[in-house]
Amino acid sequence: MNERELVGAGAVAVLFLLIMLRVPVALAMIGTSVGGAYVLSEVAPFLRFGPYLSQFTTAFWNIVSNYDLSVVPLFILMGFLASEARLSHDLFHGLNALVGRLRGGVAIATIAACAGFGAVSGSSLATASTMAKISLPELRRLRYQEGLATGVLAAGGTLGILIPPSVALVIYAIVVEASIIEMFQAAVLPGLLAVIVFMIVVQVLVARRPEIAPRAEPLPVEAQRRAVLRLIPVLAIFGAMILGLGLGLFTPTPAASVGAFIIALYGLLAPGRTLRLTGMASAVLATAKTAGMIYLILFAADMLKGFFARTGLPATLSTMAGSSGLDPYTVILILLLVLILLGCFMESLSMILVVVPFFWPILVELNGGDYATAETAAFGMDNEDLKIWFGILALVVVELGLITPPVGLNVFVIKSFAPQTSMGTIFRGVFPFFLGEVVRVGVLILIPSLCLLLPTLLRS
Amino acid sequence: MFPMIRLVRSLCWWCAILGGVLLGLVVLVTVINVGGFVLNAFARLFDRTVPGLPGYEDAVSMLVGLGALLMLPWCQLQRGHVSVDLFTTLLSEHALGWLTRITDAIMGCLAAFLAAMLVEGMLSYRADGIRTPVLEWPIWPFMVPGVLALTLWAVAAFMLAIEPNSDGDAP
Repeated sequence: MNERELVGAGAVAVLFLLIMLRVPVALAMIGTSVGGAYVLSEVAPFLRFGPYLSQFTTAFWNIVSNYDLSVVPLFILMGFLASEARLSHDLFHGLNALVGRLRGGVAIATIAACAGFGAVSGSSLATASTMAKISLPELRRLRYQEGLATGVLAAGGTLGILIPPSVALVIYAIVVEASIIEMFQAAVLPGLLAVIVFMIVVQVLVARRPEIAPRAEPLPVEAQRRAVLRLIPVLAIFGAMILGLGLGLFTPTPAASVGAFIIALYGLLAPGRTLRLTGMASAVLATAKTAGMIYLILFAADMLKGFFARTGLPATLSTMAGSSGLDPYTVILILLLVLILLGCFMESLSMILVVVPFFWPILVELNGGDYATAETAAFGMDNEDLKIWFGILALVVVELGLITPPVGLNVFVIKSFAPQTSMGTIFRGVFPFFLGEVVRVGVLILIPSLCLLLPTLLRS
Repeated sequence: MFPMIRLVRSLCWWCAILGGVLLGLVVLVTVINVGGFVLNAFARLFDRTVPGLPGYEDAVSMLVGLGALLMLPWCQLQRGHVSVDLFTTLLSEHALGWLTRITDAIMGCLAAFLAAMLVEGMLSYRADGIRTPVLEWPIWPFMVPGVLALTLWAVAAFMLAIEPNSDGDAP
């Protein structure tokens, strides 16, 4: 390693140290990139500090006014409007009216509702907390075993990251310059696979020990009819959004805008609705909090990426990986393991933004370089498909990190709604779902066409 | 509550709401544009056309850009910027309080720095006459409220550093 690369390596260490010291991630990233660029200019005087700093005059504006990124606050607004309009409530109770009477049915309804609401909210933590508020009382009323009740919520919450529309997918696509629409298409089957795997886990658990999920008493016919009737428009809105984006019928920004418009209209005008001006203001304020955080991280990541490119560290790492003689699949497993470990304590978006710029050049090099074709590539696919496949794998393992002991963030979210339940009980409850997720990662590694099928079909 | 704190909180609240109004405007513009496309699909059956809104992407970029900057002060007031609570849970409440104050103060410095940088960027855009590609709107006027929002973000961060309990939900 030369001096420039050493500065880069030192900056990585400083960055993680600052993050561990609870410095806001964006601040740590910007501090590291500015400090690092200054040190770099001392070590390698031709990399002057002034020009690097002058990027700050327009870079922030360029990020916030980037049309491709305009979808981010709109999706967030749509998710919070859906929450304020109580669509998540209608979704869960409608699904519960349909399948709640089966053994383990409320847990299955919870998973399906998490998938639907997670798709619209795009955030795992928001999905876990929203659905915990709604379905945990019902699971407890029916005396579901505490581990199953909390575990299913922690696991179901993770579905928000992957099922389109997902802010994390948008961000990943922008970082690696992939098509947002193709990323959405690629996420549909793995997302559905997650839902199916979680439902199978519930069925297996309940078949082995029926007493952990007592049957619900039948709902009165009128209540069941009302719940199902309320479910129909919610399913229409969520289904149109997921399928429209997944099949490439809409582009992201119009889809998010029209989605937000329809949800607001439904919340305001449908009979018995509760969305009022105060609810809309709450949705806007919650959007401001989340969007402000995301835009600052995006800007910070852009600055950090520029700094690391000046150090030459990503290029050196990719060359080292290419000449190491390691099997490409071993390397991808190592990279995924790193993501799982980081995902235990880091927020998913910042993790993607910090590590993907390092990982991506390594993968390209291993795949056979910039001009690899499907016939010659080590992974058997060209770099465009590799972007998609790795992106889905990365997001799936980020999901996994959210329920990985000892610090899965979703488990902490559920714990805050079940303070009397021990962390051990929640982790034991979530463990079968964790195993299901590991199986899913294995399936997606072995069968990349699960990710690539829809984009390839729709491309042609 | 000190009047100054109340004023800053109100300003942050109104800024975020204004940002939301701009997003609402984007939503409406998009719905009109999508409506135009749908009508166009029907009109083409009768050899007619209904045009979409010209410069739609320009307008969305400017409105969302400004809206996003207006949301930053509220995000700060809510301490919305993500951080990792892994090892700091071992610290005492007192030490943690000071750590939070220090990071708030540094965040204030960053916001002030970004505001100053944006002023420079705005002046260069104005001097160079940079405009949006299709609508040819000058870009610098959109940056002016952005500079004010970044300044308010800095004030909010310093306020939190001095008076940590001045965060909260109500304006």
